[in-house]
Amino acid sequence: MIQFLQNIGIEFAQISLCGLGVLLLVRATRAFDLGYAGAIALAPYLATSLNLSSRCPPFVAGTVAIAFVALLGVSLDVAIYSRLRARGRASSSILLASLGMYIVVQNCISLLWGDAVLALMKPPPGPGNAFALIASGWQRTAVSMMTAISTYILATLAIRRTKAGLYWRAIAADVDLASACGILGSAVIRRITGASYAIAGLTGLLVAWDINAVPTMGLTTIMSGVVAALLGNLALEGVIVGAAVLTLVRQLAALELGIVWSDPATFAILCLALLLGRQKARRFALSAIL
Amino acid sequence: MEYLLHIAILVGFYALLAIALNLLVGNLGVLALSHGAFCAVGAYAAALCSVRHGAGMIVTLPLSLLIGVVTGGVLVLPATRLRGQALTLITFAFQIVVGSLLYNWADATNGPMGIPGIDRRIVANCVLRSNVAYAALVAVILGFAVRVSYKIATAPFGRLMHSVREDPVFTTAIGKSLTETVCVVFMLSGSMAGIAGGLYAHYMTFIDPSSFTFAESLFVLSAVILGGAGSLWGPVLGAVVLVTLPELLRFVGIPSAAAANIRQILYGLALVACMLWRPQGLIGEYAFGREAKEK
Repeated sequence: MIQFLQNIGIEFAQISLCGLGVLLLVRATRAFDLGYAGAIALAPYLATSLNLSSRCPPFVAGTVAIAFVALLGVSLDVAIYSRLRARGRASSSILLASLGMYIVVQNCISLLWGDAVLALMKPPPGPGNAFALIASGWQRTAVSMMTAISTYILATLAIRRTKAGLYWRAIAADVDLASACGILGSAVIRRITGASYAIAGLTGLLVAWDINAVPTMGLTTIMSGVVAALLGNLALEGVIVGAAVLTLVRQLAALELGIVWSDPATFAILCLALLLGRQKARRFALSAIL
Repeated sequence: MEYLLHIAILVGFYALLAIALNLLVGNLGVLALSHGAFCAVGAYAAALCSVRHGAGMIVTLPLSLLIGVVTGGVLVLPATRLRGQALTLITFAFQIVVGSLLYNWADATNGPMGIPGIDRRIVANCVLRSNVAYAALVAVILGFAVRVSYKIATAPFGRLMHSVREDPVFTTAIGKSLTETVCVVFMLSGSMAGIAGGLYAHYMTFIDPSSFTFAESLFVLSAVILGGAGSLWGPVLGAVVLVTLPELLRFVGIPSAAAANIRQILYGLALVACMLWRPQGLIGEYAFGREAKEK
């Protein structure tokens, strides 16, 4: 039971963070960006390399990795996605381009660090791996939950109280009207992309800290994030509800049926969320919790 | 010579997958990311039937085809009301789930150990030992797939698919069923991908989950987009380019450990380049991702 609760806490933190980043990006761009999955995988590898090679404290290494990943997102937007949007291409075109970039990022990771599992928790030979600190289950659960909650609160405050957040809400509601009001859509999207990719990097660090890192780890994580965001009607407060429902379903499936069935359970929830439509999915998610 | 035959068989296999995906991407305008999963299902069905029941290809290939049809139908039935990115997400999630099941459901699939010992027996004592014979089999099935694809594209059903691609609202307004059309095309596409999987399993004589990852779905998609979605020979050309050109990397002196990753990076960059500068691909008729107002 204790392990079950710890697993729920950690997975909820990961899924809610990922869902938050997906939500910010999808609402602004109206397209799913699979390069996000590459960012999730890249951050832990970068952080571990910095920590081990230059003896950076883990907090600094993590921050630098997140900043790098945010910069990557902005670069992708400038070089590829904004050009596609400027040419009036459909969102499927952006999705395809992001698929291409995901493959590039994932294989760059494999090329640089190999395909072996990267263990953040296990100290390697030589200098100790500082990420192995805070190793107990409850401590990891507490840190993961606090990270997710504080990021969520910061994001909510930024969106509700700042000008940048106001611009994001305008773009998310009606990009043409926002443009007519003088809001530069491309600049807003660029900033949001950077912020979302930073959240992706943070998610990647949490996931890798829990179950270690492989170059392909981004795909299952982003799928969970997308489902959580859809279950929550692509709303800020809804993503928490969606993440809670999804986490519960995944953990119960793993407990009752076996770990094999966690991903099929996610797939079933995704089908349900897409078929019900966003509003009904959110009502369903709320009723499942309450 | 054996090496060239091996390349030719791989080209045939991927061309078959690309033609299957082209039905969805090029003709119906649906971006599907699940053909690695369809192929996996067909391959594992053929492998299990061959290894556990001693069945020859005369049984396993039709079984793979049938399994592909069923899988396509099962995938699309809950998603018949969905369009655009929602449908793409479902196919993406399906690929992830199948990949996860292949690795973790060891009772059925033998997990990461894979299934060895798949033979090339057609029936009784008739075995396709040489690669020349196997290449001929692949060529025949590929030719049949091209013929079917041509017949569908030029038939009234082909015009219906193009109508769904260009303007689903108009298609519904004239009384055509979008749901039925999408279902049929998914099942057809799944059947071709399934039989490709069966061919792959019997050729390789060993399969494991790493052969059917998301990267495989992306590779096939890259072949369709690069070659040209919507055309008959575009996917075949795309498969030829993407299978043969990276083989040149072997002669450039790149370490084999890095060659696979570099190959994948090139595929990804090719996809991005196509989207930016040539969405219709090399010889395609349909510019994937273009808004209607641009046409």
